[in-house]
Amino acid sequence: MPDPAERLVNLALFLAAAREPVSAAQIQAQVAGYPVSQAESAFLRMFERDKEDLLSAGLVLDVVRSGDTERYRLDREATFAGELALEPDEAMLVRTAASAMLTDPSFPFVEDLRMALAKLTAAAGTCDASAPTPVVSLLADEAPAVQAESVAALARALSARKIVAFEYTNLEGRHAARRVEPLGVFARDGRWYLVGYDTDAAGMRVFAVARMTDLEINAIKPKSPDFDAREGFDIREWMVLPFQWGPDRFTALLRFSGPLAGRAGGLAGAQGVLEVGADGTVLWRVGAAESRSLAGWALANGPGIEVLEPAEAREALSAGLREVVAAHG
Amino acid sequence: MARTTPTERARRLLALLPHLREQGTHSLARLAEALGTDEASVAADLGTLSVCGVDDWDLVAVYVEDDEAVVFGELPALDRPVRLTAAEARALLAALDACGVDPDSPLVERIGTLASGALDAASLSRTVRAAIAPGGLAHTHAALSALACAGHTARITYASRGDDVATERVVEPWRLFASRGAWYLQAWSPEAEADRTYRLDRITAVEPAGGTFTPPQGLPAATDAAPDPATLPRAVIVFAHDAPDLTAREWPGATFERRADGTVVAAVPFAGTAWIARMVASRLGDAVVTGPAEVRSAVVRLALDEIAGL
Repeated sequence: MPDPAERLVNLALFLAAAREPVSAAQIQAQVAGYPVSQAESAFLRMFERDKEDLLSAGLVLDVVRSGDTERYRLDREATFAGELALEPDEAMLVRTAASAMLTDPSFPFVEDLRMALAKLTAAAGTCDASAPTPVVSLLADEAPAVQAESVAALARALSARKIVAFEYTNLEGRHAARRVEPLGVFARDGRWYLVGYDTDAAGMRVFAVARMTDLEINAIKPKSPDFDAREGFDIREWMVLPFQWGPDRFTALLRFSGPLAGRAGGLAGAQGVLEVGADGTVLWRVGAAESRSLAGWALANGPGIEVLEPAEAREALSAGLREVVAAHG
Repeated sequence: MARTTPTERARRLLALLPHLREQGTHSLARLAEALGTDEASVAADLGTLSVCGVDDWDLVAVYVEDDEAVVFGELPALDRPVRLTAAEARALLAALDACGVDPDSPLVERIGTLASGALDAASLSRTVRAAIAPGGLAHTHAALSALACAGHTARITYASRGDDVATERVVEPWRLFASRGAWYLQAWSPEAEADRTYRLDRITAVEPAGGTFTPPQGLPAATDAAPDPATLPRAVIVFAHDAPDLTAREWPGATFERRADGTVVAAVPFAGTAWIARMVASRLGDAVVTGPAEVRSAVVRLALDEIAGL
């Protein structure tokens, strides 16, 4: 049996070298690797799969129809990339990001990243390889490989808009089967999370991937979506901070000063709106749900975070601190 | 590389082709670096490519000799880089996102131009985020990895947890590592004569300090860079019965015991009182330290300072 990988490369080279569109019959006769005595129906099934495989490598085929025959040619415009010029610090970032994530067992897209890196370095010319890159990463620390595998499956499901089913154990230890329309995945504080519409609960939910088991993607009609795309969905709205959980929403105003002014972006975690003041401090207007939890968060991440509004959060902080003094006096 | 499917293998072979468009010799090490793989895999792939072609008379003209690939003719076709597929672009943007590159940055935009027409980079960043530290670590990350690769010392401006002023220090940057949702720099501090770990998001400035160094052979494992909890003193903390987040993630190295009345007693390792005092005070009365006395008094001092600042 000839090597199927060789057959795919031969097919790609044949299509790319052809001056005119070619028919399936020409391909069967001329591309090395298709069994000579193969029945036409078996060949056509194999050729269909091969076309899918070429597409997954980025090679886009055009179909040219005349009468009953279909001919194929490489869509050069859709297939080939232009040159890419990277600044030295950009090239360094790409290189360190790729080498860190390629060795991170919890990174879900290793094989795709390897291919992306190969194409990028080909488009950007040389990639200086003088020293090993001293960067290592672990996005998720609990069962990293299991989380990576689940997130890769969830990402495929959300691109194809297929429903996923899994068993889930929530924070209180309750166990239930879930059916979810997957809308986004994100990593935070060493864990991967899925955001989606829970079809049984009829509401949006956030799930910790580490607490899922028996994950399955709906396998019926893999190419037709199970649900409509949600315009305006933005995962950042779900990557919330602890004090943002809860039904009562209000707007809080906080101020970062000292060394924390430079870290405001990271601490804000893409939530709310930051504004740099003339004195170098940073004002942060952010949605919150719980005054006491907001006060605790500001204290835990300080010194240098001041709660300015609302008055309830300032009072919760003041009362809480007095309790701390009384309990330790 | 374990258990590669023919499809994956074909993708790798096709991605290797444009790297061979110049005739002459190519070092296997460079090719391996460019493809994110090792020299043995590249050599095996080149062997396979050398028997592939448009037909028997037009094969890929390459052979491997020692640690080099020799290209002795023009490629039959496919000598230009191919666009990124949507899945490849997603992987690359997620990796950059994890290193603190803002999804709106010009770099991400230009990488988007390499991707297939079907790609919508904005919609990708609205559905997949691997950001360890949203808010732009990219500059610090790039500057430190460049210095670490070159073996150049760095002058960093840094504020430790609990410090209200940042100070400058010169370090030998050994390695960057990410763990539990944060990036760290592992570096030698000549001043302290010890290796130290700095959180990247607490570094507010990086510049070359002018010196050079040779990184040590066999760095200690990055995850060992935090102090070993077993060697630290422990504080005993009693938590109210519905206190949230009583996990080893929040309180590294701690052990917990739930009592009949629902309260939880924890033994929490601590390296200095600043961190533990702040953690306890931020529970706003739901956590009480029963000992040692130095931690109790640190908690009171911190709470009184905070009250005075209100």
